[in-house]
Amino acid sequence: MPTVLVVDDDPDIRDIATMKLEQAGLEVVTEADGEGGLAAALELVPDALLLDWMMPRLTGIEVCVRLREHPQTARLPIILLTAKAQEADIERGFAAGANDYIVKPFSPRELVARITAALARGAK
Amino acid sequence: MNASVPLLEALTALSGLLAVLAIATTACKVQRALRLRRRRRLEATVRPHVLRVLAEDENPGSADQMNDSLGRTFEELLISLLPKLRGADRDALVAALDNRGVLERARRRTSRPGAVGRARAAQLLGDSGDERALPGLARLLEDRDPDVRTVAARALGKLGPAAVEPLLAAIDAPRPVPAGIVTMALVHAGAGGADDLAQGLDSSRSARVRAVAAELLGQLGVLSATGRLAQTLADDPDPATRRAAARSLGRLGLPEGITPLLAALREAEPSALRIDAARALGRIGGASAVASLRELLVAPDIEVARAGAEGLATCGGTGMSALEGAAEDPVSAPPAREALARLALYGSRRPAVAP
Repeated sequence: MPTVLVVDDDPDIRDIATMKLEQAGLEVVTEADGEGGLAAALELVPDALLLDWMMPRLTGIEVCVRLREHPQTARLPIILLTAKAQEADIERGFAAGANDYIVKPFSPRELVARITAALARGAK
Repeated sequence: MNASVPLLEALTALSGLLAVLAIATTACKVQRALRLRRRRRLEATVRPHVLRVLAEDENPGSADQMNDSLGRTFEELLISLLPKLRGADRDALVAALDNRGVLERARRRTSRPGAVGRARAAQLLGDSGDERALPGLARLLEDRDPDVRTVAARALGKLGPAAVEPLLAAIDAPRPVPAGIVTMALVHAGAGGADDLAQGLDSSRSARVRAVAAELLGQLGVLSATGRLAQTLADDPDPATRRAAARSLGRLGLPEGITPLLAALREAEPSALRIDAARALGRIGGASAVASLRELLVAPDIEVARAGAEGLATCGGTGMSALEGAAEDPVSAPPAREALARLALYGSRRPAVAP
């Protein structure tokens, strides 16, 4: 069963994402800050990472950049979930190594569809 | 000896006061911590019910059986999630709130005493996107409390096109809502309300309403409004409305905008309008635009000349060639060279002249 790591400091978002992804048949691991997220991603090497941008300790962008420096996570599908919706922010997210970008407020169904698609692309 | 007695008494009184303050502060902190702990316990209890609402397998009876505290916490959690979600899951939250009578209570609260209560009700009704709230929210646009009016305007914007008419009217009401707040709300309402915006542009007696309508028709990309905006640019009595129409014609980018914009470049027109028209022409482009903007480089008003250069810089290849040619001509060189230097510094992503 593919594993998705969900990193967000908002417990509501973590709970909703977890419930929806588990409903879709995925295994979910959660972390509440960037530092924990980075450590968990390097240790678990999940099949996909859902990553908030604005987080304590380490931002999602910093996590993204650092993960791309490690060979085991260099190709990990990373989906940024953030309230930053400006064109420049989206560009910055992709430049940091994100594969996809979801803007808050978000549709949980769309989130599941994007993660499923990212997993399918990664499996090919 | 006698002098030290009052001092001692004062010190004792001060110590007593400090002790009372310390006890009161500690009691407050403990009370707050207990309240928070209770709140977290209640939230942990109702959270699975909230998730079941989103999982679409909610047993309709399970949330109804909660006691008052749990029921309130359940409703507060549902409300707190509204601004975080969109799509079908948000609709599920709204339906759950509606089933519990929360939205009906909020609609009633819009006409009760207490500004904070009215503002909270307005916020919830806006977040819910419930069109049944429109009359109540429209009434709050005339609330005696300016903060309530602001919250109501933002909430109305979330209800979509149906809110455009009351929002426009709020700009020049006896108790007005700031035009900037209304503009943001109208942007949120979207282009579906274009007909009401066009109506406001055509028939409102308020210059501020016409100016906002003119600006938004461009910002929302309402191409069908090009003719109306051209007319407004040509003959509206209000200078700010004419400027807004010029900017919008530029944003819409249709060639039909060129002739009225060229007319707005005439020397007899106010400088501010000529500047906006020059920038708008730069967005649309075309041979006639390039020729007129080139002529503008020798305008006596340096700001107008700069706007001409900026317009040329955004006109594509023909405009850039004209700008480079003008930089070699001593008469038109200063604004042209300035624009080229700015382009070299900032590239095309930054305006050559600050707005």
